[in-house]
Amino acid sequence: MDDFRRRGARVVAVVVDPPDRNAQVARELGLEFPILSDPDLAVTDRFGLRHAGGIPGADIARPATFVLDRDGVVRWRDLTGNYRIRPRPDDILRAIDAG
Amino acid sequence: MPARRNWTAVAGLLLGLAAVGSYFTVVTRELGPRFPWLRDVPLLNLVLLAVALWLSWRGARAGRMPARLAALANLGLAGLFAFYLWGFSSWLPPALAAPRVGQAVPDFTLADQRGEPLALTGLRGAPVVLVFYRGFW
Repeated sequence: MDDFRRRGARVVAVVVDPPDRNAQVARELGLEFPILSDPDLAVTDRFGLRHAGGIPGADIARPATFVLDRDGVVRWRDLTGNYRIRPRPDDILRAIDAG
Repeated sequence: MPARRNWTAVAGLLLGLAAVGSYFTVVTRELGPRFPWLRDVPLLNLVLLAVALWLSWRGARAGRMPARLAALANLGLAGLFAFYLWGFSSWLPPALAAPRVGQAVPDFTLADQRGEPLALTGLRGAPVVLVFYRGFW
């Protein structure tokens, strides 16, 4: 996280889980960045990322990562084709540097 | 003469279970953050699984019906694991409407883990890494 901090970048996560669950996850994993709760997937829908039936009986977000510049414009994105495989921190840092 | 336990077959099945189980319990949860390549391409688990299948095959060749059934179960387990790695986890909907490079993202306000609202516009002026993830449900 120091590499992100040095660049003045903010990391924000969005997930369907409620705030108390996110607080528990942040505690367990030692996460310092905001984890935002999108329980009805309204924001996820605005980003076109709903995964209907992603888990049995419920909808979730498909994984996605965006790097936004200082004006909120997308400078880089990763829409993984396999939810096990996520972008590496170095790729994201390079995108921040390029933006 | 009492039946002798076929330890090769038993070891093969146990190793197969450990090879698959450790992907979820150890590689993804514990090692994944530091060694993401091990999660992306689970070489460790696949090597263990290969050894497990070899043991199963040896056990089945030398053994009777239970050892052959154990080998069959191990083969099924390996098939399910391969299906999860390269089939099931790729079943994602296309994100055709996701903001593209050069587009501004929609603004939103959501509650953080302390229950306090955070607006995306409040972060303007700094680069933002915005991550959507599946959750822990």
